[in-house]
Amino acid sequence: MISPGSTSASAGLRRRRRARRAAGWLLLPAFVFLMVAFVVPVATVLATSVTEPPGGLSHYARFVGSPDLVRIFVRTVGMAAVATAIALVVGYPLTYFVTSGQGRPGKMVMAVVAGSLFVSLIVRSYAWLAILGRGGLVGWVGSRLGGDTSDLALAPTKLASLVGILQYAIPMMMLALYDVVRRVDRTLMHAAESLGAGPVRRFLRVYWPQTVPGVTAGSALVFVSVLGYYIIPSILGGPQNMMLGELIAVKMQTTLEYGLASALSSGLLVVGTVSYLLVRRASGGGR
Amino acid sequence: MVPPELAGIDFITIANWGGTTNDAMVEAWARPFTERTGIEVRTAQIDYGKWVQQIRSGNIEWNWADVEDTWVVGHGDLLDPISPEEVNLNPADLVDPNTLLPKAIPEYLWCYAIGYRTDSELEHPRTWVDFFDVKRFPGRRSIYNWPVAMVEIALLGDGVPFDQLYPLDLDRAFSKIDSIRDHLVFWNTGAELQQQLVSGAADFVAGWDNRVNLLRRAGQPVAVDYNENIRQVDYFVLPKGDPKQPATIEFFKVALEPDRQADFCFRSGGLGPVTTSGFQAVEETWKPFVSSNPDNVAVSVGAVNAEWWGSRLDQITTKWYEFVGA
Repeated sequence: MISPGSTSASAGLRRRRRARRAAGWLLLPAFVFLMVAFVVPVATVLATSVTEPPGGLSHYARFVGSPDLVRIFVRTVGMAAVATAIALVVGYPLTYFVTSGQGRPGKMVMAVVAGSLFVSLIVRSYAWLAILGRGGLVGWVGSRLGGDTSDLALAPTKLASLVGILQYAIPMMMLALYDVVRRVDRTLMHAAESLGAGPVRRFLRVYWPQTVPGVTAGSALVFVSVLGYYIIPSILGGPQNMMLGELIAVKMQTTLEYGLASALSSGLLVVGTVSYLLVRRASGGGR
Repeated sequence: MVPPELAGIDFITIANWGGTTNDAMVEAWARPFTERTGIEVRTAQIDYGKWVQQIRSGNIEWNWADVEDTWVVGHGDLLDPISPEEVNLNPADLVDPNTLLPKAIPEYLWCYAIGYRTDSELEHPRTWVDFFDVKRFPGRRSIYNWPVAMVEIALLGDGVPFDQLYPLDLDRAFSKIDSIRDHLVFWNTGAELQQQLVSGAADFVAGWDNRVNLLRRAGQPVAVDYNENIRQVDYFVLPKGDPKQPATIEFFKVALEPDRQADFCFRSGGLGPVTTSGFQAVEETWKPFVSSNPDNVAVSVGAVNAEWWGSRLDQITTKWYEFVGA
């Protein structure tokens, strides 16, 4: 004897299964896009890195065997790491300020930060060149203040390159943090305070853990995208502070070393993926 | 009157070195060509690798690229032959008959020379030894981010006599460049060279003379010292198997006419006519600023050895970019 309840339960199950199958079809465009735009290109790059003559691991051998290439690679990873750290240190408190019910000032800060992303990357980089370069604004202001800075050339340097990168990295970090920080339940902070927790303890034990997903996402986003930057460092750092992306572009377009270019790209891919997994694990994620 | 072989060709695309040289090419050559043939000329920024790829794959986008002697020598397999007769060129009219190659017609004669600011308190270097001597000639130098001629000036700067330059000692050149890295910036395009000199980012440049001459003509306090200039030649060439070759050849014909050579010479800032008739058509007042002026050639240290570079160009370029970036 089948109870009416169980009948409706199995009907519900069927409905849900059907719904899930329908939803599966809805995922098809996304799946196709993912394959065409991400999976195939990445697979092609990986394949090229081992099939382009002389093939095998020869291009990787040349990569790790060249002190010049290794130095450029290490510089690239270092720049990405430093930019991510600074973006977090600057972006986190700014996001806190923006979301902590500051009303108009907070909104204005967010608008300025997000709006700055709309200015052309090349225009911005040349603007920094004019500000930091020799005979630029910084040197001029310095000499007006009595310093001997008329000869000062802050660009092209690695520092200028970092400044240009940060102008992108900080807004990106803040946008990733924004939603998470905004949703933090601040009444919990009051509860913790009423239970006797000091400000440091309140932050570390109550506030910070709630923002970790945003920190993870923001750091991964900034780190991985800075790894691939090349226009900003090319303008503000000059060829002598080249990042790997620029060298890969040269090898793809000018010297036509597809195998080596693919091996270098794969190197970036590995660093990006591994660092993401590490950050996720460290943040107790994986959900 | 449009020749029948041009029927059906709506446009050609030419790749060149951009900036003011592109402007000069459009005004002096492309515009008259379009007026006569009705064929539009589109332009692009040259990149040797991209063009090689286009020709090899058969998807030719650039019907001609403004290539240097050093590139021509090593890439003959990508070119179709072209003769002086096809472009109405009388070889006896050439300023230097040796510039004629089996698959390439000379386009303009040019050089690397030392550009400097005339309003600076710093004395400018007049030789390549001076250029690399940062003690006697303090100031920031800018060199081209490209091995050809830059390797040569580094070796000359290190005291190697010109007649003993080849085969080039790359390691020696690189360590010479490394020795002044703190005083060095690089330029990647002619426009960047001009920007660096005008903004003061560089006090001296090892650069294309014509770009500096143009700045001077525009009223900037800069000048070229032709002493020890290093000469090169750029070429008209036909990419192998390109169906638009008839139109490209017609374009070359226009560009090689004496008054077109002279007009381009003036507009580009001094890229030298390849023909004597072309040089004679240049305004007297402008002649001192022409790379191929006999007075400027007389103080030249020599020409880049394109034969030597030929097959080595790609490999050395690879090394160069890694060396500069590291």
